[in-house]
Amino acid sequence: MEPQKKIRVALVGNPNTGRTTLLNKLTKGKQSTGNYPRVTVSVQSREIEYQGMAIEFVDLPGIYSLSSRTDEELLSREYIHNQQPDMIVNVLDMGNLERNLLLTSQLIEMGVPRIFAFNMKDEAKAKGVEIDVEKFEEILGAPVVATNARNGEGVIELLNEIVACARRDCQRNPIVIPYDDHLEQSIERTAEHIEMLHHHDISSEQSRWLAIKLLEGDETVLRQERDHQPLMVAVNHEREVLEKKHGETADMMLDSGRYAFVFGLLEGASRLDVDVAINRIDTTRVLDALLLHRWLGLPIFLLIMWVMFETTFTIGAYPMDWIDAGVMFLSATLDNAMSPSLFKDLLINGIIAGVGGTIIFLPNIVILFFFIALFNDTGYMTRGAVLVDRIMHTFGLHGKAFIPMVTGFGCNVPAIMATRTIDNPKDRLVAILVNPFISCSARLPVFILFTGAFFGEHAGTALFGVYMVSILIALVTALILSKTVIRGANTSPFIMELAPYRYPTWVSMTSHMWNNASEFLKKVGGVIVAGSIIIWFLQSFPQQVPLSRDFDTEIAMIQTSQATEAEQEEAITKLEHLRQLETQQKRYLGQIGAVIQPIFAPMNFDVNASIALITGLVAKEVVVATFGVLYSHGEEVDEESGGLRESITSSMSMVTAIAFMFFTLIYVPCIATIGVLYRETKSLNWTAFSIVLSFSLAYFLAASVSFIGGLITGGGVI
Amino acid sequence: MSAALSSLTQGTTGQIVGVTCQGELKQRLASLGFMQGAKVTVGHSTIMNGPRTYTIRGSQVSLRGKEAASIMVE
Repeated sequence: MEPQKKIRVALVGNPNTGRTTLLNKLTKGKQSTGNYPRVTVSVQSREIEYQGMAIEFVDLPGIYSLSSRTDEELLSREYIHNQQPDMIVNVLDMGNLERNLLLTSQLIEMGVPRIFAFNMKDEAKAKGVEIDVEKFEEILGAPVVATNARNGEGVIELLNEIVACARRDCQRNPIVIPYDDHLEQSIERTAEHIEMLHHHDISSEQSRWLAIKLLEGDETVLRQERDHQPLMVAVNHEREVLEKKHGETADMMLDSGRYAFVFGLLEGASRLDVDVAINRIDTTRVLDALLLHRWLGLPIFLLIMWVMFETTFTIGAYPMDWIDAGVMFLSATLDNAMSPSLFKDLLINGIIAGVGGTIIFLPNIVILFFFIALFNDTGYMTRGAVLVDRIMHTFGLHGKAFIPMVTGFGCNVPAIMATRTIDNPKDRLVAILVNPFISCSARLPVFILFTGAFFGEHAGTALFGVYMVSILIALVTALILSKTVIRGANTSPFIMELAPYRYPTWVSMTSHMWNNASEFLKKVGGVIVAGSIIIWFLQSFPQQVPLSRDFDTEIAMIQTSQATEAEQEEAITKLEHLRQLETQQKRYLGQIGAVIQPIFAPMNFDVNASIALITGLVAKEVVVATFGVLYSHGEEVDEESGGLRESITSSMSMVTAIAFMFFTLIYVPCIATIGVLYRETKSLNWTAFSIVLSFSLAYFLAASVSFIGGLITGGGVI
Repeated sequence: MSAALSSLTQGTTGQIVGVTCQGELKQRLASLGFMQGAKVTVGHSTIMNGPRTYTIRGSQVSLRGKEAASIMVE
């Protein structure tokens, strides 16, 4: 038996042509073997074995052309050019060949061995599009397979074609796309020049491609060749002459030529059944008439967003409770099974408390990503961006920034990752930097505790107010950032294709949810474990601290005193509280709190509130737990605790409480968010900027609340 | 008579006679089919002069008024 040969096949095509669905069908049941994350896009690859041949499929991002302008185009072109896949499968939307074939014409020029998958055969048929496969194969110079990735039609034929093509070493018929005479002469002259530079050790296809790219003004290729000064001079001359003669730049002339080629191809090899085309009911048209309606579109959009929120919180609450119960059960079991030790304390009060507190938000994240996947896969996401673009634009944000903002109500970590859909780096940066101001669900326990403690029956309204303030702060910050430090943002054009509405596929939905959930667990898990251990350490060390009083002796004295049993118990409990309080104050975290507290003096935060804010850096829900520990109300502390509410109302005024809520809302959300902010911006400066911005804004607004509130209440405590 | 695409009313169709913007934007518009000779139909519009949708070469594309103003049609 001959040794098994592995071939690499790249899937290339326009966005929304069903590339990923096709990949799923081609590699049924296989998990991704690799993920190559890039700046804003990641490439998936999967391996299968078919007819004794190992085939690795690489799913390149959806692109409209190969002109290396966007990250996706750059990545795809670099992959095809530098990684040299054995073959590319160009996936086209058969119902929209005219636009899809522009990319095809550029792929043909690159001269890579290729197969064409004319996908979404059923949709095309419904539109009345009929094609002559043999004619297409003849003109495109490569095999054409009509597929329907959704139901798997044509997938086996495509696999057979790939294997056959690999076995016969992918014969390819070089196809030349003809251009305007003058342009053609320029290409020939430039190609000859390139061949000379390479001492004729270059294929004519390759030199023609380089010549075309140089004339097109392709920045990447121009950079590669900039050392060849005479070539550069010649190319510039050709471009100038062409522009002067035709009143049109060379790149436009090239695209015109490509479209002319496409047009000719379609004339000869396809036809439109007019009867079918006229009589069909266009679902997309009907839906858009409602969903993109001038007056109804936005209200419907807001309603859909509201449903998403409501579901995320209400449905998410059930699995949250189950996970919470599971974590508590685990803690209790370990508590019973293990004898007291430092390690046990670390495990239960450090790691399990920290990780457990974070992991309960997994259901919210999965549900939110379910909705995001649903919006994406059906095509509604792009409509939403169109509808809110005008409003977002007023505040210096791109229309596409709305999904990350909505996601931020669940968790800022996936929200910041979701900004990847924004092409322009500056627009994306603004969207990333304002996202932490969107109140995530981790802050919810803090607000529920405080609004419950201070606003009584109006707590719900107060909570709604917190969310409104959070949106307002994000929008105003975006406006200020785009006018100051990130100037040049908000100038990028809004160009977006609105694909036809389609039913989502389960495979795509579940894989989308699973990928995001596992990424969340992996990335956050590491940070949360580390942060929990640090906080635990600071709270637990030094183990023995010198105390101001001899509590043990005092307790022993009470036990032997004449008082009744009830009186004794009360006195002992009081002493135990005082001891715990003093011990906490003298441990590292307490010492840090004492140092930090003066900083918060303008807001009248006491030592406990200051410590709670510091621990909240790990994750905001820790703020509530910290208050619980510091006010020593024992183990079972949650946002419903009446005792904790009383302790808080007695320790601060309403004005201070509002200032505290402002501070909690605005300052750095958590370590995980800082981590993902750094990962996504790839810049220490912007990460630092975000931390400084959120701290100073939190400080300024909380101090203002404290000051103005003090004026209104006359400085008194109400 | 040529006019800017942004000035066309909903439902009307025109043929592109030129694209006046330059560089990257022009290239991006071209890759979506906004090029001389192509037919374009105005679809939906949003409130406060927000983006509008257009049908071009068989697909629906959304543009802001600013981008549409650089596409000349007749």
